[in-house]
Amino acid sequence: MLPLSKVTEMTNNVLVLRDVRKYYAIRKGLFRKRIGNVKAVDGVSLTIGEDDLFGLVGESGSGKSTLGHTIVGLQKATSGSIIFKGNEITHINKKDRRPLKKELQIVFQDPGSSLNPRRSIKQTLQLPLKVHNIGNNKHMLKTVENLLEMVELPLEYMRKHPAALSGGQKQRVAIARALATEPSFIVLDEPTSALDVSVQGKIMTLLLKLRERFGLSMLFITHDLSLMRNVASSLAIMYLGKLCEEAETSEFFQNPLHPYTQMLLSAIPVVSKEEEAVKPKKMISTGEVPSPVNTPPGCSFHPRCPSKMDVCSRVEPAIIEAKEGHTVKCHLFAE
Amino acid sequence: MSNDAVLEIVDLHVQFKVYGGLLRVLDGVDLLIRSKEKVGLVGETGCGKTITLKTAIRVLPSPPCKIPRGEILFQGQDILKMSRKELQYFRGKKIAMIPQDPTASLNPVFKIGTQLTDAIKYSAGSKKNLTKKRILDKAIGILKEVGLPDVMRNMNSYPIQLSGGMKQRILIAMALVAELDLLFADEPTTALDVTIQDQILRLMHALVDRRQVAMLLISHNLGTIRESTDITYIMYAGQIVEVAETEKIFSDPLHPYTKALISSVPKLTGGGISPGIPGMIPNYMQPPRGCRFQPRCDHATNACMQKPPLQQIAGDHKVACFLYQK
Amino acid sequence: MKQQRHVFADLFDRDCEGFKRGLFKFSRNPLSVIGLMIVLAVAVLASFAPYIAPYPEHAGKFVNFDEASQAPSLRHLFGTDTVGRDILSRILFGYRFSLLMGVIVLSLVVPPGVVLGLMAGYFKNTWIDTLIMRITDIFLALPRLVLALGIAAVLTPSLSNSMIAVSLVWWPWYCRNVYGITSSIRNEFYVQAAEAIGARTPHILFREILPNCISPVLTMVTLDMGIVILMGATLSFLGLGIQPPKPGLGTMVADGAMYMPESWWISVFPALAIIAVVLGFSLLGDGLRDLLAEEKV
Repeated sequence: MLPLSKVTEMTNNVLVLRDVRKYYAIRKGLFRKRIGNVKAVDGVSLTIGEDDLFGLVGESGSGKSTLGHTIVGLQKATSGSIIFKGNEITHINKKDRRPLKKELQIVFQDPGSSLNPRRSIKQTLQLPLKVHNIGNNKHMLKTVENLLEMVELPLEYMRKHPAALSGGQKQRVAIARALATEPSFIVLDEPTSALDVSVQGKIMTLLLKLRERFGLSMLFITHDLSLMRNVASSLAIMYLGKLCEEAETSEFFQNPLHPYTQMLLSAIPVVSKEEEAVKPKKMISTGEVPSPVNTPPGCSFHPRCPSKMDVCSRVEPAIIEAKEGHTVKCHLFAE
Repeated sequence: MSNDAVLEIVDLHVQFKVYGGLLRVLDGVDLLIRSKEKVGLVGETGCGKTITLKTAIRVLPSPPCKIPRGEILFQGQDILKMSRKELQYFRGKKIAMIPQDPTASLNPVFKIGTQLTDAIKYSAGSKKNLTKKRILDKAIGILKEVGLPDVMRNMNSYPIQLSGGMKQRILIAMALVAELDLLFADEPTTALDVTIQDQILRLMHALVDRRQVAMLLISHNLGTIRESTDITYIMYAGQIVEVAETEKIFSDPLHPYTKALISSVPKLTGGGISPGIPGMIPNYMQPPRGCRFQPRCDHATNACMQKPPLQQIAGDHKVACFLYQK
Repeated sequence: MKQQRHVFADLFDRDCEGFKRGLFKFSRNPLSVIGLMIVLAVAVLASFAPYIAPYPEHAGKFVNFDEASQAPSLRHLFGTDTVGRDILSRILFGYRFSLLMGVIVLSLVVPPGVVLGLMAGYFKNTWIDTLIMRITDIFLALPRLVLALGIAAVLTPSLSNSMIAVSLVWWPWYCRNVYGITSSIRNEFYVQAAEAIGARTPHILFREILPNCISPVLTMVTLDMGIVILMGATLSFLGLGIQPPKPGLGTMVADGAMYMPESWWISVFPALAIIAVVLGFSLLGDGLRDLLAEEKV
């Protein structure tokens, strides 16, 4: 069993997000007038250091995937800034973005559809090399072989197509593809959610091994708090486009503050009595997971919050530093 | 055969004839659900749990599917030997199913109200005293019972307008319109968010208790099973490897697969990531002889080439493993 | 451990088996096999027409009024027409024109249709999409036969002009088909992965999306062969396609129309020939569609 990595001093920040927003316009009518916005990501600020494994936890509709896609350039941020290794990359043009794609990579959620069914594994793995002109054919073949070894797949799999592989094996290929250009930062969008729990273990072990070997920083998007407990150096909870709590892992689980965090934790189905003991006392989950089309006024969680106060439906809470390194967005902790 | 057995699966073998050979999926499955019991069937993808369920409801098409041996006794009668007409008497009326994906299981072109009233009419069979008003009242009643907010408005909505949690509640309502004896739930919360999962599971638990229905819950999520069932069956590659009261399975697992499975789950108390279980699920065309877990098992011996019988160890705790043979 | 290796080796074999399995499934469907047989037979007959036809010279300028309008006999298996030409030989040569029409029209139509469909689908909701699809919609709104007739009537009647007319009318259907597939694939993770890696647009269109369109397009092409041949025959029947004395199947049907029902063989055999080839392609196309669709499972 691999130990947790401790967060080092935040002198080397690989990724800094400042008030990043991503809105999608809702258009109606013949002339497609913009009548409102879907606020998928609504003001997210965070910092990820070197060697960090940052967990971004949320349910559907929270905007976590959108945030991940925006960071790697699949979506353009509506406002705010994304700073990668000291460089502002929010609004760079297509030409400048390309070399960046070597550094910033992504592993998608569904292994079934993240590999082109009509391309062989070899072609899929060669794609990043070809796009960035890394080496000639002979060199590329050697790199593909190295990649397969790295993710512990037999070399003969090069000739296979995705349909012949299991979910776990496909995900290994997806990871290999992300590593082909030797990136320094990888966004992992629920990479193990579609896998069985025994396969999850194997993929996570592989990821941690690779992280240590290559000194990767990772943004790990998931809904699985138990998993984050065991791998993340710090984590943040996202709800309706905003971060509601952020802390280092050990502090987070010792001291979960936000009512939504507590609701999440108490809803997790655990497998042992010891785990039951550490869950917050039964917070009955109420209400539906909202959609970002109609965000409630004030604190976006207030319709479901058991500790709701009068101010919560009117005023949006500010981000408060409850303890050093532990921030929470809730009126309960305002001075 | 116990007297209060609602469903008893005895030595079920299910095979599929495909190009290239015969897929021997289920290899002698034994399962018992007593009245008012909540039974969980746990296994990973491809272990055959959904096939077990589909065989019990008889929805598997017969040419590729073969059942060379086995019986499925519902209240004493063998479902496998029933004709279509006889099955009609049970399906939807005494046995119902809550399917896996709420989005895929509701017809997108009909309103919720229509689908629900259809279910009510069907489950009532040929009883003549069903007026429109009675059906409507029953629909409203059952939707309230499953906790659907804003009942009248939602009855007039189409599935696409509703969230996953709401759709699942509706599916539960549709399953419960009849006076059931047995409820099947096939991964009812897998497609839902964790806070919604929690609500749905508690709802199902309450309904099943109140109506005194027996339930078979299938899942690959161990935590879900632990929180919602009385008895748990662990299945691997078409074989039942362990069964016991749910509490005991988790506090005192015996079979190597069960132990490996439980330790693969990341714990909220920490402890790092387990390396998972080496190997892959077997190819059903050439499954391992005897115990199918044997290629991946640390304790395998030559004896394991024979299929270990499901033997009683203590009370209701049974294991299919030679490590525990007397 | 021994079992594990066995599983891997088996997976490898299964890959090569894919094509064999496809053939096997195809052969299970008798109608598809019949379709394939018919198409192959027509292709062979057309290719070797000069060597197989009993009277190859009858396929051109030839008259022999002594043998005119003779019923089917041992010397002329399908009879002769009003100027004494052997109908069987003319049908064999007629097949050449039919297949030629199908092949040329589809070769002209498929590449631009597919490319435009890819572009419109990938750049969905931009001006590219609007421009391409609105033009396509205009063509799709009009019945193909009527439009082709109109175009062919404006141009001087000939085989090549009828091919042009049909081609102009046919391309939008490929555009629409590929547009639909591209729009849905466009948001799949593997396309997004290619974008995330930095692949350029031509690569994404032609190496990521296009391979996934090949199966449906192939099915459409096969079914279309029959329909294009039929449309060519229709145009010839109306005098807008193959001109006499060339042996077009439609022209032959038209020639014999006024002599029905006495000299029935002059129209009926060419008509049966048309039916046969269209049926062949339809059955083959249906079989292909079933086969390729099942692959998804």
